[in-house]
Amino acid sequence: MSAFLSGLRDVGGRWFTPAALAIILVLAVGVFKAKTDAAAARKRIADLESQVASQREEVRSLAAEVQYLESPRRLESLSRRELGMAPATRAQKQSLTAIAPGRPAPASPVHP
Amino acid sequence: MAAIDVQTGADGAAPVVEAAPAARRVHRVMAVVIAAFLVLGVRAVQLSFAGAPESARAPAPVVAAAPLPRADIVDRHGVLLATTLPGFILAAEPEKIWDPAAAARRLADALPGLDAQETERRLRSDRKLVYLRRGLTATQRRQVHDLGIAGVTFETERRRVYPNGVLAGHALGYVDRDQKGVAGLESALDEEIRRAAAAGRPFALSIDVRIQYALESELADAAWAAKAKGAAAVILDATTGETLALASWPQVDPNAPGGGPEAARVNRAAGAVYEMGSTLKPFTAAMALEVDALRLAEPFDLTRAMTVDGVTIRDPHPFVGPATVREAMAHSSNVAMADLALRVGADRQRAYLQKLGLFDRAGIELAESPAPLRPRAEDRLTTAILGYGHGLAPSLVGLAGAYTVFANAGARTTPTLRRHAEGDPIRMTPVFSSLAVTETLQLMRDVVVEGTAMRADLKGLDIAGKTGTAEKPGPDGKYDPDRLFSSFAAVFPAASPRYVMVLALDEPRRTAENGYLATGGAAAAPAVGRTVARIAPFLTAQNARPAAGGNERRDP
Repeated sequence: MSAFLSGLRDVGGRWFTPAALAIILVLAVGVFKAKTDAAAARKRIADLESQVASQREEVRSLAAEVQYLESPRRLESLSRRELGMAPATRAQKQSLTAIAPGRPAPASPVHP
Repeated sequence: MAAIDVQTGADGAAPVVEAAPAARRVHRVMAVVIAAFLVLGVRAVQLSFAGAPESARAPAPVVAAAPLPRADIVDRHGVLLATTLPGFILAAEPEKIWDPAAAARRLADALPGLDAQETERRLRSDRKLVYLRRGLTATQRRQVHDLGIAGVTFETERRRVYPNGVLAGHALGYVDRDQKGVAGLESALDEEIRRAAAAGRPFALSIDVRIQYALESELADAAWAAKAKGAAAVILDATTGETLALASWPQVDPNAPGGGPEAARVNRAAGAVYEMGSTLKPFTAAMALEVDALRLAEPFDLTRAMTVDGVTIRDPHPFVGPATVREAMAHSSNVAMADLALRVGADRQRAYLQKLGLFDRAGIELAESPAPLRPRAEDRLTTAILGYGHGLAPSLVGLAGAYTVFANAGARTTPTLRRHAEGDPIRMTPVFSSLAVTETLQLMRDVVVEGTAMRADLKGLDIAGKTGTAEKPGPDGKYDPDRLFSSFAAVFPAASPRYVMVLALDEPRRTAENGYLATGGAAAAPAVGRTVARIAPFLTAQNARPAAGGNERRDP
């Protein structure tokens, strides 16, 4: 038993210190890398969140702009000016019987 | 020291210390250190020439994703009506401005409306920071930034934007600089709009943008044609009480509410009360039918005036020959309605008017909605004149709410600007029996077919309704025949009403467009006809109707 321990000490005495130093070095580098990566990830997340917020604001601005461009007043103005179109007048509307004299008139007024 | 190898000489001389192993270790350590520095050096060169990897770059300044103070407001189909966008405040540090006059001139050139002289005065101020303009858009900010004026800075803020401009301006209202609602829905439902923002959802209104635009367009045309002082209109889905459109003319732009005339800020549809006149007559007829005080075929003598408590009530255009209540309604007889009101009696009349909501605020979610002006006396004369709509001044929305009884088999719904969701309860107040309502609808249909509202008649879509032409008090307090309030209240389709529309013109003039008549039938009814014809295609998908009420008669 004592011979075994003595042998272990001999072997350990030769390799333990360098091995321990190597492990400590690896662990230190690992911790450093993990911390650096975490910090980088945090910065990246913050960056992405900032981008998301910025994009959302941009989407809101674009939605407002789209609605401005599609507002009924603007569309009517463009339709009149560029296409010569206007809301249908009462004179342009005909009943079904006027269009198709052979067909019977509806029993009740058309529900809108 | 344990690692130093010590050997003894063969002749027992002094031990010789061998330095080689120690030197090797030193060399190894040096090699490790050099290798480490080499790695660091290579990395430094790499970073210098290739730049840092994306993950290691300094992030852009984090804009705190602050929650929006107010939710977007959308119409019943999700069309955007109001939103909140980032805005910028233009500020300057006067001590850093080298040439205030030149800076002010350049800023004024970039921002139309900015007063160059006032800006220069501020830039010469002794203060550390002066504010020059609020509410800049991102584009304007970029334009000013590109000027490169030292000492000019920007602060961020939120601004409320209404992309449709004046559309539904009175219903929406507006906010102050601190994003607090000060008018319209923005004020009345301020808390709910903020809660919706916190929940991340838009706030949906009952308004339909297409119907709103058609109504505003026709209302403005009618007001211009009659050279009216003002105008207002409202369209309700009577089955739910939802307000599909609410318009007041002149219009107000909620993006710049202070930019128009003071009169434009008045919401004439919900924020003012008017004596409506004859548009209240269908209620008198319905009351009389309900209490069995009237038969449709009963003859009336409308050739003569009527005296009540010493006051003479007469028709402007007396009906020649015998008439029934149909002719009386179609030609808007005051004498017949005063007679029916007296048959109903003061107590029952007021009970019905109370149930119709005409004695209370309209119930719509607008803070500016006022209480009606109502008569306090209960004498015979007051009862008689109430029969044809004098002495009671509700808001247009209040009158529209009362007209929902003609679309709900006698039950009234309260007007609302909230979108009705499937399954939401509908609060209905029973007022008349469906039989009384059906008979009254026949009278109202006659008004359009052969009475005062013939100009509202449409092909293919029957309208029923009643015109009103009320004289407004003049400066001396007496009714002035030249200052009219002309209106038309309608329900459609007449055979099975679902929608209510009330349109009124304030002080219309006699013009060629209305045939030199400024009455409700000449000035307001045609606009209702045009509007209904225009919006009917938008209503085709809304055919569902709630269960009709019973036929039993109800006492008030």
